[in-house]
Amino acid sequence: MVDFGSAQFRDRLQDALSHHEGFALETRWFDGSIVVEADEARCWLKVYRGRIIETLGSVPPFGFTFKLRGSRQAWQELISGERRLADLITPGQRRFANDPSLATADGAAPSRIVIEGNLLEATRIHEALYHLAECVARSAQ
Amino acid sequence: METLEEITGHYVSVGGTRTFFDEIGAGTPIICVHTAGSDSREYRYLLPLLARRGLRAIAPDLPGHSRSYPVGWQAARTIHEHAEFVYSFAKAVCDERPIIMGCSIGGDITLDLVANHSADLLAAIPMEGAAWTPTFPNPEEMSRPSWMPGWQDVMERAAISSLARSVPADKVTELRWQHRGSQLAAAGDLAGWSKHDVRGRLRNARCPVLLVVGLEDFWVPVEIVRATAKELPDCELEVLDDVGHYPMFEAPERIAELTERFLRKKKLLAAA
Repeated sequence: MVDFGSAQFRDRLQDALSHHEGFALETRWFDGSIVVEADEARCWLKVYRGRIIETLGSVPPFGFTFKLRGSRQAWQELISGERRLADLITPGQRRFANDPSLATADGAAPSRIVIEGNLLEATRIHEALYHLAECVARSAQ
Repeated sequence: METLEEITGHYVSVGGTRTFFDEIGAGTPIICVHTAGSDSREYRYLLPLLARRGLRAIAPDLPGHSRSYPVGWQAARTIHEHAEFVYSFAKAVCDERPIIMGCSIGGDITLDLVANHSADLLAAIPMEGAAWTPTFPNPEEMSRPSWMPGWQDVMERAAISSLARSVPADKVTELRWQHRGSQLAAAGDLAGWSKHDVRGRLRNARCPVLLVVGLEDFWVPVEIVRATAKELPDCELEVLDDVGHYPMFEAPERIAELTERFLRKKKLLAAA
């Protein structure tokens, strides 16, 4: 899988988001920063009025507004199309192929991709997260 | 071209609650219960197909959804509340034992009715539901814009993401619009889903049950439906490939055929 912290990925993601009308529309009144993080690799995106105005491979001293954090494997499930973002960001155990007795059933189990930080801001632009995930998948291929 | 559809809308007072339902056809009644945060329109493709097979196809808006007012102006918070309302609704609009079909929370509602009123049902067809559905946390704390500004989008995305990948874009958009009239009720619906548990209460069911689950529905793992099937004394299970969380909307012809075949096998539908 592509390294989220690489300059190449950041450039491709910025370009993809810059050409995504839906992302621009949903973040028109957003002034903040979003991190996408796969294990130890991360990409910081400064978003202002629908545009990505800067990217970094690390988090600056003033932090971020919210973050999407998952393992490389979780992101790969999104990138490959194996699992949908709604599935990956919603808590709860929903895979029982190896557990027909449902012993591991747990509606509060942590999600595969966790949203951290200012959750009110994250949910306010929830639709933009789907556009972001689409662009992450495209940029990582 | 403009066409007049044969489905007609009606209102009925159920225990004082003004309730909307769509209807088409004549014959044995089949009441079709929609998913969380949506309404009867989810069955717009299936209802005429059921009517053509000799059924009186009825789809209500649950209380608090779209055109039906909530009972006592409060959204339901449990599956059982909804199930008891559907039971009262059936008494109000049917003069014979109905078949109950439902999807998602409608599937859970159908199984709650099987647990509590099976002798009064001709048959039950729960889709994308199970005896126990702890597949995500209780979302009651998300129901107000001040608590979760994006709740409407969260709900809509949760819905359309669980359609099969083959569903065309215009139907994805249509399903999204079908989830734009019941935002507040949706949180109560899903709270009910997360708490629903009728395990151990289905073994004495006195009506036949056809369980349906789509393999592309990540909200409803097939294993929880298989576990439910094992509890029911007279049950068939249909596992559908290329179908997600909305079988009646995604594959109405397949659901109509499955329904007809099941009812004929159980001798509940007269030969054409």
